[in-house]
Amino acid sequence: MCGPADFGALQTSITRLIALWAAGIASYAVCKAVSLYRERRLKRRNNEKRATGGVLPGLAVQGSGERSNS
Amino acid sequence: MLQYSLATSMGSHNIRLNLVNRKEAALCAALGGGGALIFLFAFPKGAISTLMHEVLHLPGPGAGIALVFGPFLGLVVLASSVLSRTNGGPLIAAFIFGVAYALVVRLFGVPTNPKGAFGSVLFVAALALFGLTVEAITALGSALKQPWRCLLTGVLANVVLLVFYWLAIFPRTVGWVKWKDVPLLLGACLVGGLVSGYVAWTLSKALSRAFAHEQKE
Repeated sequence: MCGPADFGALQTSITRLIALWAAGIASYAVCKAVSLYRERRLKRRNNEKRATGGVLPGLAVQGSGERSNS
Repeated sequence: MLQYSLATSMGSHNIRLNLVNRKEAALCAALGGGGALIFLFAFPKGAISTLMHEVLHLPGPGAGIALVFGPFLGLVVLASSVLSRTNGGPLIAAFIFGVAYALVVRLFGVPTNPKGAFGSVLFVAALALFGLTVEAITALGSALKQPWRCLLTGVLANVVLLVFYWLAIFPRTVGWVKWKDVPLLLGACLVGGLVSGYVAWTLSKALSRAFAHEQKE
């Protein structure tokens, strides 16, 4: 009913499953590393933008204060 | 974007169907085709039968369907369902799985176990039925939370596939299943379906998070 046992095929199957598992984990690790790198780059850009954009409002506040004092 | 919305009223419940657009259909087809290739690569002829009957000493026929083929197919189809979040995706994934499997087996002469009738018309019909079951449970079980829905879908779709094999395929290839083996094989089928549903939900959660992150960027 079951056909002849083929332990060679089973061994091949286990080897291939391990290879697929390893490939999956490796590709997941690469994707994760790339996404982390992108996230950091995005954060750095946002910080830089905030740093450059934050100077003008500061000056404006200072300017308005001076005006009110005079 | 070709997205259709159908609202069907069934008594007091409203079932909302969001049919797949082209991009989602392509994603589901790619998942189905890729799944078929991976299955053909990972399980050469005789591997599943040897594992089930010689190593685990499970009765047959149906142990391989309940513990290996059904859960693997469930993983592919549920992943397509969770990732596309639309109706029609699981059916496309299951159908393309069957067609890709049959095409590769016919074109490249890959040897398969004749017991499972892999690559035949009945095989493609079994996969289409599997996809339809996933569709039905996904649509009807929309009140359930996603993890529970995945578990329920995995179990019921696996049971439907096994029963179809018992009734339509195995009688033509190896013979009818014995009544005394049915409870054990059904138990294995339930366990396989549960594991498949859980793994599909976990994987899809990680993948959808990654997709959402990329879209945000």
